[in-house]
Amino acid sequence: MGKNRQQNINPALWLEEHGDLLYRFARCRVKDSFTAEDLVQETLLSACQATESYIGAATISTWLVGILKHKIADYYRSRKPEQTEGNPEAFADTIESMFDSREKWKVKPQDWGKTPERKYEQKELRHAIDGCLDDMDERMSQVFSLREIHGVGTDELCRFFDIEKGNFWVILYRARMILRRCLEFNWFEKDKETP
Amino acid sequence: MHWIMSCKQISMLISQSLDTPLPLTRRMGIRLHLMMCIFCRRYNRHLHLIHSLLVREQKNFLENEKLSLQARQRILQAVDKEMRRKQVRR
Repeated sequence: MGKNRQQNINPALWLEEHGDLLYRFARCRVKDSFTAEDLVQETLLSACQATESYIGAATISTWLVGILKHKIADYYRSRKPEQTEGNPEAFADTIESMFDSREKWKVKPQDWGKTPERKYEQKELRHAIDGCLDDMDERMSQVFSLREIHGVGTDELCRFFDIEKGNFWVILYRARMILRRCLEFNWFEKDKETP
Repeated sequence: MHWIMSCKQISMLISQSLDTPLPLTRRMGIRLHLMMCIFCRRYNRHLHLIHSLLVREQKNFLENEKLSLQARQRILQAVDKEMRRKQVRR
């Protein structure tokens, strides 16, 4: 019990024991490692200031991750991209143009051939995905990356970006539609030209 | 929603199914549609291909991520400073 107590007010020990966990959690959710490090620092500083708010019920790591989640949400709120303000209507026309008036495929998905199984093929495809994401609306590619690359849950992401679930699914849908088509165009179609 | 859904509706639902469990009727609607529509079948395969490729990467990525020594020291200093300030205030 005495040991637990000491642990409660020892931020250096929190860093020692939970630093990597917090860092990994943050690293998945923000673009670069520096931001992730800053978020870990801010989390621990807030924790120092709020040791009283720590109720022994949660484990230290749960409590710290809870603080970190707030920090990440603040981070996203503070830097909303200017261009489209996460407006999912921005790409509505692009998606619309992929279907005809009877809602059948106009830009028909093509046969991509065999699934790339070799390592280098997968690597190339991965590069192509990055290229397509770079061309995409910033907020859209952010939402997509967090969801697909880092597996962040729906509820958590809606909170990060302050959007409703329905909107969230529309953004992801459009991101996937655009990415799929982009890959088809840049990768699989080009591939076919060279024998 | 109608039992027979359009390609556009199906494409939306397939995307959604990657993020949330769908009700049985929707799942059956998708399956029925996929049996009849080669383009939606391809679309479905493509989305899953992208998904599985990125999920695999996620696992590799996480195993290798750690706080650097410099970052640790920097954070430790900041935390120490904060704790000392707090003690002074008391």
